[in-house]
Amino acid sequence: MIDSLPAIEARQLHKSFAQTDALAPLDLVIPRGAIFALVGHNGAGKTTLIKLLLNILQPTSGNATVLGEPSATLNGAAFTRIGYVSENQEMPDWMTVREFMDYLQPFYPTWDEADLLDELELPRDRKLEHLSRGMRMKAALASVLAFRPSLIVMDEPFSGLDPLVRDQLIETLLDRISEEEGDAGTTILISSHDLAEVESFATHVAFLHQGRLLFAESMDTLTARFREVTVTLDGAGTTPPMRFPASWLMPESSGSVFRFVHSNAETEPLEEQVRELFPQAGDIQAEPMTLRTIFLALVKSRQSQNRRRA
Amino acid sequence: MNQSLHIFRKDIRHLTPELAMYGGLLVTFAVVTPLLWPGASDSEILQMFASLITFLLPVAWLVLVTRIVHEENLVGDQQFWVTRPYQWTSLLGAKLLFLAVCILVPFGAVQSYFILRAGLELGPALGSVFLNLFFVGIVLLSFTLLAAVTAAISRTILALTILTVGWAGVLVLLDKLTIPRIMPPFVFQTCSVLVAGLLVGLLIYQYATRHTEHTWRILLLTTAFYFGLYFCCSATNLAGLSGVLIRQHYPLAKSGTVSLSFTPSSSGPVARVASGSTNIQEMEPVELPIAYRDADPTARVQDASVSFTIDGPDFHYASPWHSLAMESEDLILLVPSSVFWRVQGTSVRMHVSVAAERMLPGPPETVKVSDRFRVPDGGVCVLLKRHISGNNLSCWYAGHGPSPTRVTGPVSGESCGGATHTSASVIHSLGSGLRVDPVIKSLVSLGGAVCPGAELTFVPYRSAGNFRLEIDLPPLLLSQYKPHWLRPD
Repeated sequence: MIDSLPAIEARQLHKSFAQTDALAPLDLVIPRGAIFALVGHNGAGKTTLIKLLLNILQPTSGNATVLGEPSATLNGAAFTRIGYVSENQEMPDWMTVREFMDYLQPFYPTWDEADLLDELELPRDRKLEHLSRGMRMKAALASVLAFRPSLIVMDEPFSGLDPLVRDQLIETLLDRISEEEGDAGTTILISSHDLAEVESFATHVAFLHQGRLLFAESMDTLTARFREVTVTLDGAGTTPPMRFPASWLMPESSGSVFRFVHSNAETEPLEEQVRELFPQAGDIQAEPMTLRTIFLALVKSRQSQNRRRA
Repeated sequence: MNQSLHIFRKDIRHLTPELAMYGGLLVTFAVVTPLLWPGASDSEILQMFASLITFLLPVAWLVLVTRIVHEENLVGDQQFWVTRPYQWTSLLGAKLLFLAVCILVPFGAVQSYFILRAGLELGPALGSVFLNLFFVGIVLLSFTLLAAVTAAISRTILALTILTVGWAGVLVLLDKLTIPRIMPPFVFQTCSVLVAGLLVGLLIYQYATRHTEHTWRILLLTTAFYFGLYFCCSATNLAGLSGVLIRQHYPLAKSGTVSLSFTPSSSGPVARVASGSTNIQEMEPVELPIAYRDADPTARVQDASVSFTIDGPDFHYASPWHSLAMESEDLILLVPSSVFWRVQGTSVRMHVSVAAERMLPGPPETVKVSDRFRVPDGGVCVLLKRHISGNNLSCWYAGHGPSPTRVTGPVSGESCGGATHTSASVIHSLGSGLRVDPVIKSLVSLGGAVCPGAELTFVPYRSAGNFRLEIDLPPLLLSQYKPHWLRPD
């Protein structure tokens, strides 16, 4: 069940470093209980956005709330409800896994690690500095899951991990949050540059590209909205029209076949639109798209728009 | 508090090797330092080793402080602790607790050991131990602040080096531009408290906000302001405020106790042997026949200072307060060369103010000399087996030493058994400041050997209060009072 009060809400949140915009002003709402995938290439601004939300960086302008609190004033107490796991996070490497967990425990009144270490197959007596990358991420995740946070923020947690470890992490994460009771359950914000990693379990997705948010919505509406349309035209030599509806992306013509991506297939009358522009249209096929193909279509479309503007 | 203790325990566990090394350094320091006290070893190698240990102490403090602060680094955006439920107050508390328990307390213990080892009583000396710890605390706070605004120890050292070089540069500049002058009353204490308060304030700001850039700006601005203020007070005649403070601290003397009198003679100043202290750049000495008199011939003055004004046609000069030797019948004033050469041939009027502390002798106390014997003001004197500059009596005190004490007694030549004569010397106290060795060793210059069984009389001088004397001089030509310096050879 998703609560109406969002877990995260950003309004015109903007960050620039010197003259460079790391993150263009963006609006974003992440509902409670969502598994929200923040995807984009390396350098798209995902980490900057996460650090702004967690008050690790201060915004240049705009503001955000996280679990109802202004992000700019998030302090120690707030992090009893927020867990953060990052690929680049420095950890007290001199501690063993056991010492790390024991050290953190008194900070959290809700600490309950149960058999987390066993489940994640973490060696208790090994120092963090001697752990492999995958093991480090497991230790970081264990230290977050143990206090049952309302919001888990993960920045590229699966980057560079082998598929087995990645699946184990995802499985543990999903198992643990499904055990959580309460009105809204645990919200997860997870960033990744690999769409396939998050497509299988995310309930919502947002695309960041070159510091700009292309869109953010639920997976259901997104996959319902996008269709890869193939139109077979009767009669050779048909010239495609010069103008298309705004929802048609990447139109291309090849012989008697015309292809495009419809970005609003759920609400717009696809077939009617096609037949209006292509009276000679024969077969019209509209196929569902994967997250990856949707993302590529959006990026390419934006690039071609930029080229036209330039 | 619980969180502070939790973090503190973690820090202790992680920095155990460093703490063990610091402990070793302190133990070595505690063993080596007394070996170099007068009467013990005078090995050059040992002295070099002791100097090295003394140098390593602040280095160890810097390393420990930087390591402890960087355990939870405040600079950067990848530290794990910033997204954990750390309260900044607890974090800062844990770090300060570490400084107190792991650095200050052991250092204080070593200082106490020195006092006991010297045969002095610890109780009366605790105040000076705590004062020393306060100064060490200021040093530690400076290191802590620098570590709090830098991401790595190399940067902390670089920042410290730049600030130290800057500070030394200002001091060198001031030394070149100014003459020795007295510090207005309470300035040292006020500055110490201000600096400590400023460091604590900046630390709190940095821990509360982690706005490192802002903290750096405030730190640099404040340092520049402090330098500027120090420069203005020392190099320019921004003496208005300090003049008021000094006048307040040294009230006008009651008539009948002390006085100044101007007694010009026709012969002018006598020829004097030049000394280093008179060779101050851009200054011309003027020797005025002003005699100081005290109604009590046993009274002495301490920490005398002078300030004067020169008024001529369309001309006025007011000097800052500077130190004054009141041993002769004349007062030697230092006049800026530009002022002197402008008015030296013109009749000018002068007003001279002298400020000092009046000291009166307390009841004398006679003690019998042995190899090691107790003396007034909580001191201990020892007879040295090897003479230093012809003297063999060294008196030790805790803290900043005794009040000025006149020591009189029989001394013989090189060794005991020969003819004796009565000699006198004065043991002076020292000013406030940080001392790694709190035992003050004062060689009593009686000009011969003090022998076991002899009786020495100690007369401690107690303060009878501060006073100020003012005198208006009749019109005079400065050129007539310029002394004729002779070369020492």
